[in-house]
Amino acid sequence: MTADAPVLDVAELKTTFFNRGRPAEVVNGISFSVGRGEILGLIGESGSGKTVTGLSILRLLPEHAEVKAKHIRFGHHELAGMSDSDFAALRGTELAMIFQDPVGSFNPAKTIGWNLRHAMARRGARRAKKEEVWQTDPLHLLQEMGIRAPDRTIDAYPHQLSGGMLQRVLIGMVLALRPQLIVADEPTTNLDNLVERQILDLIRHHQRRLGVSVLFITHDLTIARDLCDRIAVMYAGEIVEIGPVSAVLDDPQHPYAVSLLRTARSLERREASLFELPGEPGRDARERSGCRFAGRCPSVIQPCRTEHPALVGVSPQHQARCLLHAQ
Amino acid sequence: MSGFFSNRPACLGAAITLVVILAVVAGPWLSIYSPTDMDFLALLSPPSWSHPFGTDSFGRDVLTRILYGARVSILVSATGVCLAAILGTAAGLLSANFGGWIEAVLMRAADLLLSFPSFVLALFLMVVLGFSIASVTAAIMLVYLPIFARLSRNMATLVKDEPWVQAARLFGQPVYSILAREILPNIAAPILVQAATGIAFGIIIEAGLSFLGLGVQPPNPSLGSIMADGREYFSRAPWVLTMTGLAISIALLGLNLLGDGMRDLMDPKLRSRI
Amino acid sequence: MRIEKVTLDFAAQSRGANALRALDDISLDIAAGEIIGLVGESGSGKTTLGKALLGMYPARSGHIWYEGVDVTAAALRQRRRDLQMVFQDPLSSFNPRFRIGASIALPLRMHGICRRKDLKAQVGKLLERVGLSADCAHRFPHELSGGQLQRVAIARVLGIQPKLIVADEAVSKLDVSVRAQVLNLLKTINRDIKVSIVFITHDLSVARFLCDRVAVMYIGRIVELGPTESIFADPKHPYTRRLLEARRSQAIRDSAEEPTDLLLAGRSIDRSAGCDYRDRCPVRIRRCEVERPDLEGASNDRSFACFNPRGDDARTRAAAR
Repeated sequence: MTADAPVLDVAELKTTFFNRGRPAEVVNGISFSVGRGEILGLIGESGSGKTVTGLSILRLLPEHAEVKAKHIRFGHHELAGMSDSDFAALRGTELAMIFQDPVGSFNPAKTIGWNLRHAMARRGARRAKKEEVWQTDPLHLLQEMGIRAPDRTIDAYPHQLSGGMLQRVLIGMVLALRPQLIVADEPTTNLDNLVERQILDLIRHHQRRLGVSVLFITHDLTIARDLCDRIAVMYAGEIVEIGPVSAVLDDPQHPYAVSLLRTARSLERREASLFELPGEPGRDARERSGCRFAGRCPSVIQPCRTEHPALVGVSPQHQARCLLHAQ
Repeated sequence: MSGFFSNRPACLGAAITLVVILAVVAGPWLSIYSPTDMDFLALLSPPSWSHPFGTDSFGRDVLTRILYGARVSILVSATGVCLAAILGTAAGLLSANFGGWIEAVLMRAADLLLSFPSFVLALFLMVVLGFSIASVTAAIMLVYLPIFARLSRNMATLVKDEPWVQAARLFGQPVYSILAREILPNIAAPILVQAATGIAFGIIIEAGLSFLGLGVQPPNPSLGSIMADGREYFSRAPWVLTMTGLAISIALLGLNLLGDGMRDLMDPKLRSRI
Repeated sequence: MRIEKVTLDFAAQSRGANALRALDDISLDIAAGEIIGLVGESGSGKTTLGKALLGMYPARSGHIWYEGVDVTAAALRQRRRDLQMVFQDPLSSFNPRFRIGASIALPLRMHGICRRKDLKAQVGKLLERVGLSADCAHRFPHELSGGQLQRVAIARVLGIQPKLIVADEAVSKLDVSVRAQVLNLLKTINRDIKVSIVFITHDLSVARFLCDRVAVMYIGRIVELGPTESIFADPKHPYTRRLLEARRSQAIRDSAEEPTDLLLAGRSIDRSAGCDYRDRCPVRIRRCEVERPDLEGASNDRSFACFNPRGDDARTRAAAR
């Protein structure tokens, strides 16, 4: 970890949805940071709040959502109170995003070439220095992203490309302008394993070359292990464990992280039956007082049901939200 | 359903429609006059306490005639549209499910009907069938038949390859059950919306036909024939035409607002994910 | 009911104007009570094959037999309930207008498996069998999570006591921990009632856990077939080896796009002569350019379609370990 200020520093992000006047808290005051050139993985299952976290930072939530934070520092900017127009200037250039389904990021009525040039021109104009832009030639860009016949792809329309190819183009489009931070929300979940593997390798390769920071949101621990430098595990709207990837995955402290790992491992080792955590996250986990994981925790003790644990440091970089470590 | 009540125009539409229906159902019973009572002492008299909408050239109470006429118009339109909905949806479902020549024949027939402007089609049918309430109903039904057929066929085509329908086929569910249970309930919404707006337009068709003297025959009242009457005497007694036209407009407004409201209600329901 | 022979000889079909050959010369036997995995990427034909097994597609040539009856024949109707499917997206496999209890009960009623008054109890029993509580029956599909719904889907299928279940990427859309629950459930069911399962997936790890045998598919053909452990220990076809490589936590050899990407994009690839895999093959020899390898077996239960299976490529062998 460098001693520089982090690219993204989020403090106490809280997101609430209002369903006909009734509030439903989705993200409960989480804090994390992404260092320069670092990939932070945000791991969680459906309902954990990981996607909403990303959308909250990007200001892509619907109107009935309310986002509050102590601060959201992005480089020199303070995103929390920023005006929409100032934010719009940042988003897409310095602060980029990649989604699970790339289709929505393209104009379907225009060719890939048009989409690329349009993106690069519109955003490139905002960059003062030429070194800030990585690629200006769409053909070369596509080649860098592993597309075999870039000239044919340039003239194709988005619906004519497979999911994997489109994702490659999108990642290229995003990287071309060297953003400071990319928020990637499950970019490979829809893809087959082989293509997924290729695209993850591409991301890692270019991320290292260009020094881009990434907030990588996923539910897949194996991807996190391969790709990320640090990970934060979310459950029911909270971060329950955060630390360097080797520390968290080799020596998980929070029982939820432990069980996720055991499940992943039992699949790799071909055990007679996979390790299962009974039950499901459920909506009422958030309403419970005390630890939100208490209902399913294999190591639950009495205080867990009444006392809500805070994040405590297991080691300087590694923290877990569990009473078992609160000594 | 609570979403419906927060949609003001839709509620207004529902309210108006309700009032109209009540008026049309109850009004004729409550009215002191019969639509054919003629009062020769009060020909073309302007609106007054005894005749809230005035009288026409035969001394008949306009309000009463409007109420009876509206009853006929709405009944004719609703019957025609409902028959069209039932038959058209059946045709659409069969087309979507079987495809092949069944679909080709039914849809091309629908296209043929649709290629005529609705009023012209209605006129044609009147000429063939003669002028009566039944033939007006048939005309409206014919106008709407292809619309429902196309709509239901398009929606059913979208739904028929959904996994739950495939599962039903795998379970060996008979075709009629698949159509009725798996497909129909999931395409009902747009059909109902179309029915609401269809009834509104059907009233116009009926009124138009009667206006030309081709529909309901005198002395039976019909909104159209009252308007025809009122047109003749417009300079002397504008209230006849005006009140009738107003009545039609209000009824249509109510039905359209109701239809739009129903459509809005259906839409957000489809995007309830976060 | 000893053995269930589903034989596919030369099942090839064309769809649409481009004559996209989804399945090409496939032959496969499926035994009663076995779990066989169809592994491949999108475009490999695995889903098409799974659906063809259930008689959902007319084969252009060749036959698929179930207990001696052609699956596309009308005569299959009596045995319709023996062949069932669990779909990839649990939410859309249920009619959204009906409660799940009703959705489970309908096939039971249709096949006369239990009487009207016993229906509710039977539905409850089925739900409990898959690890859910009986009062889930009152819920609507959108009220349940993906994992729960997939278990309901399994319960629904179990109700009519099938002999063969095709699971089409049944766990792909589920979170990892929920995946474990459903996979365990499938394994348990197979053990308990000896139902055959055809498990379609692109994830080799999942196939390894669940399946007794695996068929690796590439662009409409089976390129390798055999017992799971044997294939993992000693993969013969280079494509299988590449799939295995993709699971490991090391950089994959070539991150440029595969031909299958082009296929999905609707472009045709040159399949005139030679092996389909020759463009990407690291151990290609001259023969591969002109002749197409057939699926042939060294031993009875293990077969592969490659002229050069012991390719001289140290890296692939290391990766396969």
